[in-house]
Amino acid sequence: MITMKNLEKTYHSNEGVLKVIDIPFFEIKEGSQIALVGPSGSGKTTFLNIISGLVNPTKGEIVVDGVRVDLLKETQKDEFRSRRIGYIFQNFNLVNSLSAMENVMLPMMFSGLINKRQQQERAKELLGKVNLTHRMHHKPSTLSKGEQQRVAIARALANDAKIILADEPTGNIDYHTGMKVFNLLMDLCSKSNITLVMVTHSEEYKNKLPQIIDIRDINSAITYGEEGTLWES
Amino acid sequence: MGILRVVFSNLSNRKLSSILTTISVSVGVVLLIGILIISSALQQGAVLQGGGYDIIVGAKGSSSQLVLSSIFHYDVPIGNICYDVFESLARDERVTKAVPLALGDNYANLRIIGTDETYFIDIDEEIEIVLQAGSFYYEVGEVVIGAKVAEEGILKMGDTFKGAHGIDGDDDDHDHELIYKVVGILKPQQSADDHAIFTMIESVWEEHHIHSTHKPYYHYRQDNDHDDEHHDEDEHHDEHHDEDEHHDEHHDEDEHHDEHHDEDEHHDEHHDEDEHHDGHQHDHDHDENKPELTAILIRGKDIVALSSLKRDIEGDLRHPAQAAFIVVVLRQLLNILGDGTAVAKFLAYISITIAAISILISLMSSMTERRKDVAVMRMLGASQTKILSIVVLEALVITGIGVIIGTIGGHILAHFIGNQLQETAGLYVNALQYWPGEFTTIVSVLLLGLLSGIIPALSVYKTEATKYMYN
Repeated sequence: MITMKNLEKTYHSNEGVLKVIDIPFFEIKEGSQIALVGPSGSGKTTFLNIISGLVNPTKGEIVVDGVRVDLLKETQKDEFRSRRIGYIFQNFNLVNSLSAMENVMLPMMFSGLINKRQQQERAKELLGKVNLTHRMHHKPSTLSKGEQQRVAIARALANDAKIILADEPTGNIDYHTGMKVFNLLMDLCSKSNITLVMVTHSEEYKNKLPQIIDIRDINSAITYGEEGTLWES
Repeated sequence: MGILRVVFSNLSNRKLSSILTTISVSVGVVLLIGILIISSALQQGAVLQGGGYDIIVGAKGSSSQLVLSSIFHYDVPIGNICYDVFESLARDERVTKAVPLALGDNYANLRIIGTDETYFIDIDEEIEIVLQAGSFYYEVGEVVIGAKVAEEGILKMGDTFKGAHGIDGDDDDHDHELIYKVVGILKPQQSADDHAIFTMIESVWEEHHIHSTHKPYYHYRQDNDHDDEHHDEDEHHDEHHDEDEHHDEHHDEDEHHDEHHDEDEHHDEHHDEDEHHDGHQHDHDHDENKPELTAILIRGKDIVALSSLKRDIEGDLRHPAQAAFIVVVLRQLLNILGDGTAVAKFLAYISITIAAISILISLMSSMTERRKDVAVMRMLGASQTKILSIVVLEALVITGIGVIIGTIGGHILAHFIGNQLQETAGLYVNALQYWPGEFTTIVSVLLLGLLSGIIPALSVYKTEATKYMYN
């Protein structure tokens, strides 16, 4: 499903060249549910952004669902992202001026896969799956954090994404709500055979996921000090 | 959901800023459209009001005042000219139409204008085509009223009234003795005539104790034609004369004709004597009781004929008068007006520029908070073009709504100013119609709006999604 070969990502700054990703080889199988762990700054987010095509690797290749993402042009990447990737963030990243239903419809509008009438039906269906039918016309600011994250999950599923990249999806919500959101996400991914890569710092969530990958094990760009302090290589 | 839904939701999210920006665009467009309509209508109205006449003849003085008072029924008439001038012009071969105007009195601030049917129609037309009710005036004291006079209920069919001296109600308190009666109502003329009262020239003279008879210009033309027929006959006979040498017979005929002409002149002299005599019966001042006119509208054969006619009129020392080309005077008047219009247009352009800047500021200031939304949209698969379109469309929607409100407002403004202009200057402004130049104005404003949207759009066009998504 996802294959990385000799993947490198370096940033240029005034202080010199900073290599944040150096993955000789890594593979994720279709339908996997992975907990991606590692200390802050270890390249987890960059890892997700490279998969989604938001960040271009400096070297190497990445193949997602049979597509060489690193070779795609900007517009092709937009299309790729809208049709194959679902993103869930710690801070929800909903568009505040749009209602819950409109937020769910947004990726459908950008992908152009579904006509306008079907968009609405699909959004209602997805909001139903996350138990938010009664809040579909509400704007994010009037929803609780748990509700906002459920809207974000519905949005991630809008275009029948093959892969969901979740960057600490429960990091901003309380334990009970977080657990509900996590279970919902797991359930939906399992039912639709969606590959889930979830960044988490929580031991509990990490242990509930079938596969745990420590970024330090695959990313040789990172070395660590005595107390787990991050040093650039 | 379409892209416009995103645009409108973004705008409604910044309600106050969007409303204020739309208002500033509307105000600019109101001014632009309003000024455009008024200035276009004034030009068109001035040309229409000219009625296709070439020259206006009146007492010596300001030609603008002569045109304003006689054509627009505005301002005070300069003075009067002798009726003989009309008779002479009506007979003149260079003139194709001569319309006499006698002003001086009013009723409820409405001008009472003495003229004949030639003021309203050409020789081959029926007077009924200009009437919406009743009949034309054929007796002293009968009047037809302008459409607005009837519409505003100032006078109606069958009403009787007395005229007051002067061109408005303030001039003189005393009413005249002659009782006017409304016998007809004119169809709307879209001109100052809609706010005027028309009567026979003899009615105006009667008010001033002048007893004389006026004949429309075509009576003189028929006399001329009659003369011409004789003349043609002469020519025809002359040809025969060349061929048959019947010179003497024709000579006699010519002499006979000359005799008739002399007789006519003799008759005219008698007529003048009669008038002179009548004048003495009513007033001891002979000059004041000679028939006079305020102005004569002339249509001429061609520009050469008109130029020589103007020279002759102004060179006639016996009957001092001025002759002004109506188009030239109107152009001068519009030029004066044009200066004011230019200033107003300049202010309108400034206001529309301020509106464009306010769109720019409104969008730019929202860009900081919206970079995150843009980043999220990019993450969800929105192309850079789509992001650009959303921001540009926001500017266009604000400008578009402003343009719609402004265009309607501009027409309403022009309508009110037009009403005022019709009341005061008799110029008709049809504010409800489409005016040339509106389309260009609207497109220009929309382009300005588009331009003010492109700058902020470009600033977010290449937003790095990863930079703002985690903020």
